Amino acid sequence: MRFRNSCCPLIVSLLACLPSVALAQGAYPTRPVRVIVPSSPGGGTDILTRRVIPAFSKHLGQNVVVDNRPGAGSIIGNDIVAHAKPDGYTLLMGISTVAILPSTRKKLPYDALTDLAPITQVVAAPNIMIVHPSLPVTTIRGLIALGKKRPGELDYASAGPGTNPHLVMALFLNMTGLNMVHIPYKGLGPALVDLISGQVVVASGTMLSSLNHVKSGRLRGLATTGLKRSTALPNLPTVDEAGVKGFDVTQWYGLFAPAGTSEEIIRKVNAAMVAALKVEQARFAADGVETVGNSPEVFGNLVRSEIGKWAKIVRAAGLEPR
Amino acid sequence: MEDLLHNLIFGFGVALTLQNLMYCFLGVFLGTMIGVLPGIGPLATMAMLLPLTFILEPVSALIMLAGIYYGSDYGGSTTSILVNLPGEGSSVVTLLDGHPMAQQGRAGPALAIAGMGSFFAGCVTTLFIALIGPPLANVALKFNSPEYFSLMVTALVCASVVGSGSLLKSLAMVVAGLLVGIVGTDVNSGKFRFTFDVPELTDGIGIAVVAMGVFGMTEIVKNLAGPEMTKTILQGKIQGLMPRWQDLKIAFGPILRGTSIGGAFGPLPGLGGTVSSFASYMVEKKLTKDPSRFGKGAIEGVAGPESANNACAQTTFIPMLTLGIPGSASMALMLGAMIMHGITPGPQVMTARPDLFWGLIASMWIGNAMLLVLNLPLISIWVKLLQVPYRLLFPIIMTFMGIGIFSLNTSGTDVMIMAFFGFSGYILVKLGCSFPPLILAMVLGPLMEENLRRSLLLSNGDPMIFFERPISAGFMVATGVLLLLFIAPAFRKKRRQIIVED
Repeated sequence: MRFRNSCCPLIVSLLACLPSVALAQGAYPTRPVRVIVPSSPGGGTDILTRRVIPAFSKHLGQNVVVDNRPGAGSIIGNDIVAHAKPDGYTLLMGISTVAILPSTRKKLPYDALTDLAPITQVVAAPNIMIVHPSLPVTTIRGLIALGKKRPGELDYASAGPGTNPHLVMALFLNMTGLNMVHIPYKGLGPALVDLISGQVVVASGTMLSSLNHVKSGRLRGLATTGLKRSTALPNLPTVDEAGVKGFDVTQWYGLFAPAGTSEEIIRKVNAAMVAALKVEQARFAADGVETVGNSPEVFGNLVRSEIGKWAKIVRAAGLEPR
Repeated sequence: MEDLLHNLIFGFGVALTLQNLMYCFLGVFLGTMIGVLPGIGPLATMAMLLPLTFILEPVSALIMLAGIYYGSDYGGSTTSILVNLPGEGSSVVTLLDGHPMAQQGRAGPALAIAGMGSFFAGCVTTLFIALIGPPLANVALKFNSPEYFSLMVTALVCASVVGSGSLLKSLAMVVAGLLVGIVGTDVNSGKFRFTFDVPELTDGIGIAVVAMGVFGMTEIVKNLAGPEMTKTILQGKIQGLMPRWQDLKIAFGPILRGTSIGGAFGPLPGLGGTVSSFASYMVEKKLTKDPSRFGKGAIEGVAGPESANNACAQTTFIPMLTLGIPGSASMALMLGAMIMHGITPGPQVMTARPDLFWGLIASMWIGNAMLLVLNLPLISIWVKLLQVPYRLLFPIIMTFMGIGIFSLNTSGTDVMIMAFFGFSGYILVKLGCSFPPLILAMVLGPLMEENLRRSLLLSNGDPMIFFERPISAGFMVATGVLLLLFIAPAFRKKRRQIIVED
């Protein structure tokens, strides 16, 4: 009897502790969140992410840390998040390359559709079709005419086989029936250096890296590659307007979480990022970058359609998956 | 001339405000610390501090970021000299003569000369940038793939002097370096080479990883594997903390030459401190009366390369500031910082934002002065470190190496690669090989291949492109002349032999 009397309070108090374990799972986020950037510091993705992080942090209510995991053209970074714990503390600032890779690589250590959960599209920006000022063309039609007159003579620069600048250019050549020599570089930086010095004469540069040069006149912009004109270069027509009907390529960045992350966490992160984007919208617009901030469902549909689109483009460019 | 003076005074006016002085100090201090710690480099640090710069004035932001960048060169030489650990590729050459000097008790003079050489280079190049920055940037633009290739061919011919020991073993090291450099992704076709399906290898093996392995780790293994473990790094008595007057006299020429070499290589996009410091080392070894002193503690081997890599670090700013073209990832980051502050980089920065341009230039001079004042008193502390018993020191060094390499790309694979090179390095040392040719080949090989193939792509397969372009032709002619100069003495010796035999 005495034994039971002394045990009872002990057992009851132990049982009373159990609910506190559930309480500890508290409201997300309870500790710093890290955003994986799958490219090295100083690059376009990195700078863009770091720009939006302070506002994102504030709206999320927790410290957000950028973790650079460069390598293998963003595969390493994507893979880390694809296999991370879906507790919302590891996110990915994915590049639109995530939709290109399934077509250019034979084996990927993750599946973009089943291993990654889309949260929101952060920004989108078209490429700019740029030429060296010495080239006697001022419009896309002019470029097409010149290209037809001198097949196999014009050189175009790219950031490397399978990269966005390469594939956009390949699509352009495919849709216009032109033949130009592909000069690959190790990244867009060196490519632009040679373009500015006139070694190569054409390229399809990303907005982030090329806008500055087009604005200063060192390079001539012919058109932008989206469906709508860019707000930063309102005088440039789109490639679609300029005669290549149906040409529509955009580079985007989007926030992802590991698949299996709860709905609630995804909505919370989405809300915080959308709010942060509203704050940064004007600054981004000045750089020709459009902030998006759509819902996880819309973004998910975009990723799916992009994967299909790029598969067609890669095939048309004649690139073998490796 | 008057304009220049006027601009410089204006620049100093901007740079000498309390706020900018503070940020300059913060930048160079952080840079030095980052340089001393192996692995984590100025790029990652600049990226981490980027959000902080949003709330600053653009001038202050750029001053701080620039300070981190050139400050790290000062710090990198410290570990090279003291513990044979190169923090970056550009500090590799310093350890060849710097560490033997430390072992002989002359770490103080080595560190001091490194600091003074870097300071001199910093001052001269600041003036250089102010005077001929913009026209120099335009010349740098004329350097394209054919010129790079020809330049490297010339460099390779001079590289025969870099190795010590038998010629055959040096050649073997060159081949090994080329093989290590092949690992990665081919630029033109996108195919993987020697990556064995390991994603971390698709971007190649980093030079910092290899350098830390073959120099840092091999040194530790060597010290532990002897008949009895090295007691302390210091093999003799400490012979004074400051350089002797004689040292300064010997070092003066190399410092001047190193500054010119670094200043020439800096504005060329893609070439970095590693190539300039190697070039300076090779020039010094060729010009000295007694080349056998190199590798055993010749002060020229520290003075020249250190000046070269600081000069290179500062002149790298030229294309970025004057034309808006980044020559490296760190410059791209600074460009990004400028764009974020609403400044459009390009030639118009000089006229639209003179406070930015001249303020930054003036702050470089101030930063270099701060670094000298920071580093010289620290020498006495660093030298004491050499007297710590080795059995306590080497675990600490290894831990720092591991953390440092891991922090480069947050990749455990890198640490394993470094360990591999550490152990293979020991085997190679036992076989009598020396590593500078390996490092040089690792750096030059891929660059040469890329530029050769691109030049031929651009010329539609015509090899005459290297001779039709004036600058490239100049380098090719120089190569021919150098080859003759190197072979001629051998000829003369042979002829004398034949005559004597007659």
